[in-house]
Amino acid sequence: MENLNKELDTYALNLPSLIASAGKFVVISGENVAGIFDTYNDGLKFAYKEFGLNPFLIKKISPSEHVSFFTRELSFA
Amino acid sequence: MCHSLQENCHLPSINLQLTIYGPIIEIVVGTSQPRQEALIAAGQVIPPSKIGKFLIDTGASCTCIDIDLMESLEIPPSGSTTIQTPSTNGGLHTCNLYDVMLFIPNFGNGGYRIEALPIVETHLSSQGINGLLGRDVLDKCALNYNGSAQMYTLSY
Repeated sequence: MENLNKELDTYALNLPSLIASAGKFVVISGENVAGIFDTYNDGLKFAYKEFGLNPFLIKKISPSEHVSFFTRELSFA
Repeated sequence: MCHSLQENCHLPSINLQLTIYGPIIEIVVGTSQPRQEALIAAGQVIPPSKIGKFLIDTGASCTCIDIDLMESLEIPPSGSTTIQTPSTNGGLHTCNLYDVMLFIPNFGNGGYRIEALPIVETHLSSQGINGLLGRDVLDKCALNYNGSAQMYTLSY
């Protein structure tokens, strides 16, 4: 399974400065914080235009990690 | 934004029967619009969209798609989220998010299209379904579950 560990590390490293934009979406490629956007769609469009088919991370900025809940039993790879 | 069932009458609606699995709906899943444009710019072929059976699940924070269906779309991860399920025993699990396009057909009356949606992949086919339609999508719709008539209505 592909992963975005490098981008997630960059997110964690830059979170203190990103917090001012909490609720918005950040686009990260490698160690590069490429942009902050109001919506997921805007960030995704930018990311594909900027990085093409290369890896990138788009993530909602939050002071604490957002948790998604599922009442159904799920299993993951 | 709608606030009452009366207002929902003015929205396009899909009326379906409940099944033994619950409120099941067929949904087309494909490459997100921004990724489609990137594939075209790179001279690559857009993988064909797939149709899957989704359970409408108000207990799911976000939409999930079965791993087999996801792999056929050849979409790499573009996000990450933390989840909690009964299987995590109260703990948290980090998993990838994938950007996809969803289209809910309305039997000749168009349908509801979401150009880009971050979804979780998981194993679901053994449960007789290909996905869970979660509250990330339902929050933009109105759902009327009429158990006594064994029908449900999804308005969008």
